Amino acid sequence: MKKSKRRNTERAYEDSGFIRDIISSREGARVLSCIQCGTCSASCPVFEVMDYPPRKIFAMIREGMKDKVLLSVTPWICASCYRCTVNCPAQIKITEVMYELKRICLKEQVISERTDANRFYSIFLNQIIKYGRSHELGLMIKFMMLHHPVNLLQQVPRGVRMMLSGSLSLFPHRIKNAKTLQKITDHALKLQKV
Amino acid sequence: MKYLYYPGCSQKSSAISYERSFLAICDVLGIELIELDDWNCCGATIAISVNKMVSFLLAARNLGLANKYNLPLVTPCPSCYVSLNRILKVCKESKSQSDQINTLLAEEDLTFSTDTQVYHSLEFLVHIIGLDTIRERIRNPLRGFKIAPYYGCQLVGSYVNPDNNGNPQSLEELIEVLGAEPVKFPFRTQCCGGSLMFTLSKQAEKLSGMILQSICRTDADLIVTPCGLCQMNLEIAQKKNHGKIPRQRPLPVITFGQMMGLAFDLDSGTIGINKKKILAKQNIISLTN
Repeated sequence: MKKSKRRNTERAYEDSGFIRDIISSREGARVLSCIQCGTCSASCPVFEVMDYPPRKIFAMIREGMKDKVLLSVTPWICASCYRCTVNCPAQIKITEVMYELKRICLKEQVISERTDANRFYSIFLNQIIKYGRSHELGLMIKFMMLHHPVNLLQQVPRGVRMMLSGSLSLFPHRIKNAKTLQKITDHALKLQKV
Repeated sequence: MKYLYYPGCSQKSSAISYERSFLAICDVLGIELIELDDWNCCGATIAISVNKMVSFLLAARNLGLANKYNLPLVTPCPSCYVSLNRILKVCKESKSQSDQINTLLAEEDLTFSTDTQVYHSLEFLVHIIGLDTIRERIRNPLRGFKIAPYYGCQLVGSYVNPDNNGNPQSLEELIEVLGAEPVKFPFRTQCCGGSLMFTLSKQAEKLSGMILQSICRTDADLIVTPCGLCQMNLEIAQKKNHGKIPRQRPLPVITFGQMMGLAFDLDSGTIGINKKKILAKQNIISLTN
């Protein structure tokens, strides 16, 4: 235990570039203004399932604890409800920082084992890039087949009900210019890796 | 009055009744909505979590398409509203970002302008069309009804009209104009867990359960919301009886479009209430008869 603690402190100094990366981004510019008041954690509707509540994440970012921050499940649990952002007295765009953290996690391939949100995101985004629109049924089947096959079975009755009521389409809708959209998103991916 | 209409993906599937009711009331109010041709998904909260440039591009393509019409854009989806306004804000602040996106969009002969106005349908009806115009069309005032205004989280998020920030009032104003009484409850801008439905479904149900519980402590007859995802989530949570809702009578969850449709005396089919398999269907029917 002691050994790993020491290693973390050493890393803290090594990774001061991490703070620079975050504060140089538009979203993270105000991270250093955090007064550690805890309003974000108190506002967060999902803090109880996070390993570190948002206030701690900000303290850890400032300490340069890159590995711990990136391995935290917190950004993946964030419901993107903007409640913390609305309430933050230091006007930090907390939700945007959570997006930024997720992008860094994906870029560096450091992702908490306690989440599969990253896989869900990639299925969702690939679907949008392919068709131009999201397709709820396809998304549900693809994600659940791969990761939660038992849950998929439980969803069948609801799915059938929704389909009968016309609120779940069987096939995805492909926009007319889907090919061009694919092409320009490819360009965008080349321009910016995260 | 012509406006551009950007439905957003869920209004074409799970929230189809929300779209139908919104289009129907706009028709009654004499508003001509032109659906944006070949629109694409705004990327929601997911694209931005994966790649910033792709998420900006997805949102900006719609604004590029909108630019050809030179009309303000209206969307019923709070999440699309946030995505589209985010890109407008980013590009107003940074010309280089805006140029970069326009270069990418040039492939499809599109350019977008940061001057495009993007309204959410609720803000649009209450503040742009105005409560007076709405009042004139009421045929069946919802007198005696107590309605819980549930905004959900996205509309009070970070990119909205500053007067709305943290303390929105438009649903309350609308409910009063329609003759009903808005009910106060603490969780009206709390998140329903919609974005966690797939990845953390238990937590999502718990959040919706908390909101329902807080509404059940009041004497509300109905819940009204400006978000299709919130509507679906609250309905599912109600069915599952999460949060141990201390009440025998189920609470119908309708969108503000459906609520206006009831007050305008449109038939149930038009406003899509027959599509909703809410247990309290009879409650709504008794309202129209």
